[in-house]
Amino acid sequence: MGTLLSVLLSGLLLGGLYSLVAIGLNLIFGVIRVVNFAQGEFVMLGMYATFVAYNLLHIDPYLAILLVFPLLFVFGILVQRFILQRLQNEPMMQVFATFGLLMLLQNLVLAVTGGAAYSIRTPLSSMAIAVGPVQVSVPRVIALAAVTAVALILQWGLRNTMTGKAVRAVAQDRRAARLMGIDVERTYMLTFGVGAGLAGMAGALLTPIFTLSPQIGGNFILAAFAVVVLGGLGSVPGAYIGGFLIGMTEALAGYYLDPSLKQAAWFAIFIIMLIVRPTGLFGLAGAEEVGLRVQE
Amino acid sequence: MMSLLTVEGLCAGYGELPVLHEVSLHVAEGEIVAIVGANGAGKSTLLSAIAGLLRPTAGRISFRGADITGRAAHRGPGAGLAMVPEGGKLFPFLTVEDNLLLGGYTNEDAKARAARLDEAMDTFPILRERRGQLAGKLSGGERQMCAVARAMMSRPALMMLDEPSVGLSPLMVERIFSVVETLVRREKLTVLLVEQNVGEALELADRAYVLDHGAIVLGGPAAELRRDARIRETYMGL
Ligand SMILES: Nc1ncnc2c1ncn2[C@@H]1O[C@H](COP(=O)(O)OP(=O)(O)OP(=O)(O)O)[C@@H](O)[C@H]1O
Ligand SMILES: [Mg+2]
Repeated sequence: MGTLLSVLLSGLLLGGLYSLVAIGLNLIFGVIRVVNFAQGEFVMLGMYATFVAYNLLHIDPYLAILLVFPLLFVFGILVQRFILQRLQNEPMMQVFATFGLLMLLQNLVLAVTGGAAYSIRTPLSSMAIAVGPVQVSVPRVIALAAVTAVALILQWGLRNTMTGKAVRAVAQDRRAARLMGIDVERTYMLTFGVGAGLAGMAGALLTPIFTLSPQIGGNFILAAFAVVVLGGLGSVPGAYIGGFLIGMTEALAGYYLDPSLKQAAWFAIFIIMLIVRPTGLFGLAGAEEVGLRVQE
Repeated sequence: MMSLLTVEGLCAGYGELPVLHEVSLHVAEGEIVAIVGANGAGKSTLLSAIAGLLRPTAGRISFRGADITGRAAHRGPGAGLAMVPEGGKLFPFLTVEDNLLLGGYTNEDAKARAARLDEAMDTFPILRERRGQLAGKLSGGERQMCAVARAMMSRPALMMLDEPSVGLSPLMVERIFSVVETLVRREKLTVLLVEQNVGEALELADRAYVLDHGAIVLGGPAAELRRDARIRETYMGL
């Protein structure tokens, strides 16, 4: 009993981390229809930025979110404006461009750091709280709380603010959105900026948990893709809940099958999902042509 | 009467394919002007170019005295130019209410937008009933009404309508056209209407142009065109 609880809790917390990375990825895909292969590297940049802020400016990793989010937001806007917008009419080239960005950022950080492994140890990072017989790590609980807040705020904003409605309008029909007076290019910049900012925020939240490396984005991005397919392309609640499903699957398979099979298990789910229900759990049938699926 | 919209020598097309050939027309304040023509004549292309969705290759478009040639489409509604595209182009996964609110995206604060929303739903009571429903679930007639109401949300001076009658029953066409007439009177609206339904369009319009293979081949008061033998034969099957 204690073991099952422990496995489920670790799956839940791991899922929180996956959701965190997947939400930004899914927002960008849902609105701009670009699969951002560099999303994991944005997370990695967020981690290094947090690390620098901690060591140079003595800013707590969680406080660093206030710095890292805007930093990545601006970076995202620049990527959208000067790379993706120029390739607007060539979707395949956009995908290659984000892949190029992935390689560039990884190697850039590798060159700068020389591949040294950095980590941050704050008093919080090794703290744990007891849930029944199980000890859970505080930084993971904080990440779970943060992703829950992000999902709620994002979903609320998309549904209830004019900017949010405009973003959804752009996702569904850009020509019609232009006729409403919506600046589509600006909406793309905003969306990509927020998506990148969320990746940066994810980086800050992951820094107390993981050792930094230039390739660390890869650990999350594959899971995030599985989350996105499982939850539904473009859906915020889908990315949120999908994260937990993938996290749970990984934890259960890792414990009851074999630790080396844990990723194979969610890849199996990923492929079955693509075959059985390509719109994902939260996708609306027929919506793959129009983009963002926010539940009504 | 002052000319609200003037188009001179407009050429436009898609990539290498030219569609419009030196189109010139004007629309005066308070008029309903129809552009009629067969499938593929270039009617939608013309409206797209005026709206700024398509960059003209030559010619000049002026609206309210300002040169708007090649201006980005999203600057239209704020300046008094609204368009109802072919098929309405509602946002299918947004509610009717959100679709309407987005029509007033540019130039009003939340309160004024809400008041305008109320007016729109007074004009089209069915939209009040359907306000919480997804726009993609509306019937053809409701969809077209929602599209017209959405365009009206920005209080445009000129509304361009691309084939509002397509796929609708004669009764529904009648209703939509009668609302358009009401709006023209009540809101001092000017209308540029594209139609294949030539008979109905010439009933509604004050003046009309005939577009054929991307060029204006005929123009004049709608009443005269209704009697024109060539029009009756080619477009009205009489
Ligand atoms: N997006 C596009 N890309 C390439 N060619 C196009 C495009 N849209 C229209 N065309 C071509 O331009 C020509 C004019 O099309 P347009 O849609 O303006 O005609 P229309 O008069 O509106 O026709 P309909 O009554 O069928 O709506 C046609 O030959 C059409 O094939
Ligand atoms: Mg057309």
